[in-house]
Amino acid sequence: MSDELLYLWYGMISRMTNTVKMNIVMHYGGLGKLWEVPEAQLKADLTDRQAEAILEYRDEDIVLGYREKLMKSGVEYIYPGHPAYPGRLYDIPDPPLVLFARGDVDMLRCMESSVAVVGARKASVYGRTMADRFASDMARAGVAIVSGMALGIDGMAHRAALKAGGRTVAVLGCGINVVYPKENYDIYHDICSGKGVVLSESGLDVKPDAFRFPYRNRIISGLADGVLVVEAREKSGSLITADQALEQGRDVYVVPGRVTDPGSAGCNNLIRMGAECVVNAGDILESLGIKEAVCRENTDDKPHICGLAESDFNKNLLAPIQKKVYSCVRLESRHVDDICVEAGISVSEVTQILYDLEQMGLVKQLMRNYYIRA
Amino acid sequence: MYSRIISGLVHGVEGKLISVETDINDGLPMLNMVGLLSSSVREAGDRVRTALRNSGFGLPPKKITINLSPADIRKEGTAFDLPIAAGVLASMGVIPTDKIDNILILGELGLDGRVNPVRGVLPIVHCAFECGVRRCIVPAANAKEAAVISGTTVIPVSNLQELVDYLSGIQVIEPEYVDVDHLLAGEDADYGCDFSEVMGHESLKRGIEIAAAGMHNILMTGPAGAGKSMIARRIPTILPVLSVDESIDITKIYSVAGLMGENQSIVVRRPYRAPHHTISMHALSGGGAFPRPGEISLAHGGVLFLDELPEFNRNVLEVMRQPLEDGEVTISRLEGIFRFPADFMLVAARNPCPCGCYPDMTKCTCTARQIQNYNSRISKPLLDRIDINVEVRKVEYRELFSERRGLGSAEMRAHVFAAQNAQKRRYQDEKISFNSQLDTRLCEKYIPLGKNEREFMEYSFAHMDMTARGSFRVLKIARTIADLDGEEDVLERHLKEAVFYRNTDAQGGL
Repeated sequence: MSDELLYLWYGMISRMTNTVKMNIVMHYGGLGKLWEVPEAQLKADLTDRQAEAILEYRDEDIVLGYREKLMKSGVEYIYPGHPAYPGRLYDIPDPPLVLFARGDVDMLRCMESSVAVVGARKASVYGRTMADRFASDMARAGVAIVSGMALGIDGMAHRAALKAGGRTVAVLGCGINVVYPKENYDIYHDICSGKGVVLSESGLDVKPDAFRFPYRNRIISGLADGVLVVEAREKSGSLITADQALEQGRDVYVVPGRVTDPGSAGCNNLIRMGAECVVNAGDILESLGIKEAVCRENTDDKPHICGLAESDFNKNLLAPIQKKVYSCVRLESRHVDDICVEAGISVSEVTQILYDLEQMGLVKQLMRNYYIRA
Repeated sequence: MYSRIISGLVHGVEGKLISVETDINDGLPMLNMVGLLSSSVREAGDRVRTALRNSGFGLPPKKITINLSPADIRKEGTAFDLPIAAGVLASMGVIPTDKIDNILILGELGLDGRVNPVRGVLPIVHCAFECGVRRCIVPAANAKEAAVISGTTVIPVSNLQELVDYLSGIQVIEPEYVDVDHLLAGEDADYGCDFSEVMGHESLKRGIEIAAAGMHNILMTGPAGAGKSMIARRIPTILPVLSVDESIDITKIYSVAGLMGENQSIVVRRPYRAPHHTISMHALSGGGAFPRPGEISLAHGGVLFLDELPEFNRNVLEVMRQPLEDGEVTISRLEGIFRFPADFMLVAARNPCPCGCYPDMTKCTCTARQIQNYNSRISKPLLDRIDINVEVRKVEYRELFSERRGLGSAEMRAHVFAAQNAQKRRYQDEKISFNSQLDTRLCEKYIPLGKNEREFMEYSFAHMDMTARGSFRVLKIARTIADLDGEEDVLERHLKEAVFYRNTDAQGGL
């Protein structure tokens, strides 16, 4: 058996976590040895379920058949030593011995800088806005966005990166062919069509079992130079990622939330414990040593240019009434009624102007009827 | 001796004429009734015999045969009592047979000869009118309803003796007369509530105005206590006026359902139905062994308000798909296929999540999955049939007690009426009266787009993930907005606003 197939075989065993598998491999002195351990001894040394899991696919034909199946569905697999295996994963404890991948696998090789964006699934409009803004600014500056393709912040970050024309990595907790949650099929599809890469350490069609998700977080943080926590409750899965990031020696950046907001309690706790508090993508880029980028000051209306391209739109060209409406749209999202009241214009006019502004890329509708500055 | 009288029954909401043939001949004394009768009609024999005797007409000791033809239609209801009695009397020679030619008779008999009201008078009289029958005799309590059909002479009778006296020419009965136009024009009705009591909610009120003007469907999404139900209750205050034809259609349904009050001639206001969310499928769509109109038909020409939309049984909601598209509901039974009109304006309200607080994160206790499940209770095809989507949010304190007053019902009603007139002028050669009823062919005919507008539609079709149906709905809303605007053509600005209200994709989901 070649190493390549041994790694694949290792990856096929999806009933145990990586840690348990690694311990077993270490116990027998390597994958090659484990392949040859007699069945009786395995049964004597290990629990029934473990032995069963190992013996399940221990047959060269099965492994070769599996490889065939992978090729047919366009899935590649990478392992330590493979040219595309991300270098960052070599120095984390408990690295995945095999990663199944779909999409542009080569991007893993040339990923110069990357930031993981994690946060609540049930994100507030504020959280979503922040995820959107940070991710798109960083993506525009050439940073790869790593996340878990979950609902809420994760999905927002992926979409923002894709929309900004950047690259993004989605690390799934389920099998590589399983789109979970289904709502994010668009992200999965876009990434697979070459705008990034989808990774999973489980096999092809492994169901999204709850235990796999916190476990894959180590890969998310491991793949990144730093982890950005956008919105996290007191006991949030995102905090697991942050913990692992610290363990792996990655930076943890936190977007602060309001003190009274339970949705940001976890974030604020992280800041109190010494995580780096960031207010715009520039802060992260600076700490990563990336200079040339367009990022925004939160207090300033105009995009703050630090080096690169001219703002693609000059707001002075807006008609006075458009300006008036635009000035009523804030950085946090507002209901259209509020905008009407403040601008003192009828709903029908406001909706027309907002449509124009939306097309110009100046405002966004994150939720129906709630507008925010883009 | 043989005699023949015209009577009728209701099939769905349409009337059908039935001939009541009576023959009295030598033979064993008995009363025999044939013609596919249900038990309520079979019982008519006993009622008629007793009522005749109590009114002073003894039956001859002969064989009496009564046939209700055509014999292949199942006869239901109690309206055949009076025509059978009249037929027997005519065959006995009490009533001159030439007097019963070309006259429609309906009515239920009491044992003492009293004439009781029956259901479905209007559809039958209407059908008779179309078949050339210009005179009818109906129970006094139903006379006002029958008199709505102008051109028909309606003779109200309250007992059997009156009928005999009238037909024999002994007594003259003044025909019933109703001034329909006057009833419909009506004085400004007092609804007990007004839109000026609604604070804030500018965009929702505008959405409601558009919806009412074109009879478009509307869905309000917002947290508990935001005022969705309060606003829905005020919709009747701004609905377009009823035309005579529409009113007759609605009255037919109410007549069949037995919901017309005694001495009420016609439905003068657009219906507003608000069934509870525990409603069953058949109660909503109409049904029963002998189908009766359901809530969607009772809301025909008016508003069907479904509060707490996700709480409705999913099967129940899906029933509305076909009616929302076709404006009628088809029910198949052993006796045949029944078509009930069901062209209503759907007003629905829902919470954004089970606890009702989303997107207020400090209060919402639901998980992402719960919110998703809650929203997915309403299927995409159903959502696609809703023209206007508005997100309602809680009104803030300062708005609630501010000096700023929004539009009142009177003003909104004026806008709606103006838009209704524009539509009436435009559709005078068509069978429709509102923009929401436009089909694809009529859309092309009545919503011509300029170059800019066509480009706009192409662009938004590509960028908003619209369905074909969705884009037609945008056009229809834009047509209504243009009508509210007093504009002859649909312009880009109307389309922009329409897109804002259509917008099913930017959902308040996750």
